[in-house]
Amino acid sequence: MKADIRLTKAFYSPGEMAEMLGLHPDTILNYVHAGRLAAIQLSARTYRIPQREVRRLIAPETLKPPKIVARARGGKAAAAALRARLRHGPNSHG
Amino acid sequence: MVAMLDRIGETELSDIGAEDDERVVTALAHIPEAPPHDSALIEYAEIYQRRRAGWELSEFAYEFHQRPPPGRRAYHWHEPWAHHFHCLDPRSPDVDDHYRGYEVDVFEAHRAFLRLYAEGEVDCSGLHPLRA
Repeated sequence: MKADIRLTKAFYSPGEMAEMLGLHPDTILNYVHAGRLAAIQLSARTYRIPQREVRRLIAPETLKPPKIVARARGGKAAAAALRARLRHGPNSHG
Repeated sequence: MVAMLDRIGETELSDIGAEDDERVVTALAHIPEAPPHDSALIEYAEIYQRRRAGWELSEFAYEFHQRPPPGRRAYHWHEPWAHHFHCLDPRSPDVDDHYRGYEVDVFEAHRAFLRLYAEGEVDCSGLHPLRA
């Protein structure tokens, strides 16, 4: 089943996800309400599930883990650089 | 921050100054978006000061950017404006100003950005510019 699923959308409705997985939509909503599945709530009854969450369920091996850069020193310089970027202008993030 | 972002996109974390008196923590995620956008970028950058009781948050920039530009929403806390917002509606790409803001934590910002991401439209209505 996994090999047949191609994720081309940025996010999916619980109904679409249920169809992909062969589950009842209420099961997907139960996952959301239990916190097992991250979803964006647009209204009381409308949810959108990010593509990455769908992949996490059906093909977790395709997900890259977070890239972590930690440096013990240089906090003052890093703070100065961030402040300069923020003062430089609203579009300084590119 | 990383755990929240990792649920929606490829995430990078930078933590600089953990042994200094000032520390900068930055987390960002690249997220696939629905057309007409290619992707979105969410970035949370925070500056902390070392105090006797522990690290104290002193400034932040929480950013949501649509790609390609210019859609943008941001919550900032830094001098000289203290708490303020940024917003750039792609339908009015020449208007990007500092807007009156209030204290927002990273969880509130994240919820707001997720809605923007899912709805696909940055809407700046209701915001009040800090400068005429």
